[in-house]
Amino acid sequence: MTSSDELRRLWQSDIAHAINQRDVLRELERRMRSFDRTIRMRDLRETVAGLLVTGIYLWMAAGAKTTFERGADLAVAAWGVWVAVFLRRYFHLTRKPAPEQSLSAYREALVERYAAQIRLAKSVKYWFLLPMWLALLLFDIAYRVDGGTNLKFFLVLVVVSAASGFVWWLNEGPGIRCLEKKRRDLAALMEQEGAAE
Amino acid sequence: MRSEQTKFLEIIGQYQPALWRLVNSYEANPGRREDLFQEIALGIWQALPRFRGDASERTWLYRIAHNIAISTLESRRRRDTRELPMPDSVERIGRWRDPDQALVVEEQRQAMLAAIQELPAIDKQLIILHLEGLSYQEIEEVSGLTESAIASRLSRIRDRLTDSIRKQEIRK
Repeated sequence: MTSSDELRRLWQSDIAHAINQRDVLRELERRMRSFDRTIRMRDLRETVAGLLVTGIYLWMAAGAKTTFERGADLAVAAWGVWVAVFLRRYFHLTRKPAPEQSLSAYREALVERYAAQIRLAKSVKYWFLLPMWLALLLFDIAYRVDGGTNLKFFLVLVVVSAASGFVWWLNEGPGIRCLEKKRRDLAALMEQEGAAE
Repeated sequence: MRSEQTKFLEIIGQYQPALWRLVNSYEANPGRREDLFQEIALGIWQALPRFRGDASERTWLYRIAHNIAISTLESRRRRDTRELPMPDSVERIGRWRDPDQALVVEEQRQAMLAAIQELPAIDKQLIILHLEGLSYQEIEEVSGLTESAIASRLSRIRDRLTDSIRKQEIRK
């Protein structure tokens, strides 16, 4: 058993396991439905969360006593819309690359997908945390301007800053570390297999 | 949509044996092979509207199948620990008229399959494409490697497979 033809004959002696084409199609439809449902649920969750924040603060803006307070409410409402739009715009970065490329290009695209997710996660502080913190700060200032106590003003400032800081730490620490590990593992595997000559 | 479905069924029907051999060489656990086959079928279905005929249908299909097999097994490897493969030879031997001859062929095939499963992804892809009868030019289209790199790698892989089969024969 040495020649290419013999190896090929042996390889093709594997009589295919019979799979019913209709079963393939049925299973395919089931997977597509489940995939579509997951995407729809994710989109719905983001939209509902965004609309909820926006709705609540628009309602609060309508009943605000001062212009400053109304401005703060509108800023939080705008932040809700901004996050929903931003996520919708950039969520494609988490999708798997198209598989109809060469193996090396596909593997590079998989690694790049992690790199893009890391970049997105690293920018969370700018597009998510900072606008949220500024909007809530504005809200807090409006409260103080409206005659609120210093104690409550500082308490809210500390709580909001601490919560934002915690989310920042979670994202920049464990979140990014986990993504970086996955990217490193994949890149190492790619390198190892590419160098298997 | 209707014509896409017909086209999809046509492709699956035509390439099913080759796809199934490919699945066997990537997935050592027979219990998970159908799942991988379905993942590949899903990938083909999703990519079908983007197929413009720039490459041949065969090379397009092999690209998808190999890439999905690699990424599916890669994410599964991260998710859980490796399960021990279960032998599926008994069922295959039952299909042959001469059980002795069937046993010999099946043992050789299993030795070759085991050797292929141990190969790095790129070598695995090259040898499968070669054994499926693709030309060097077609293999180049699928893998992105040059023809000379393909030739030198294939020569080494063939030696390795032949060696595995010989060792298995000696053990008998």
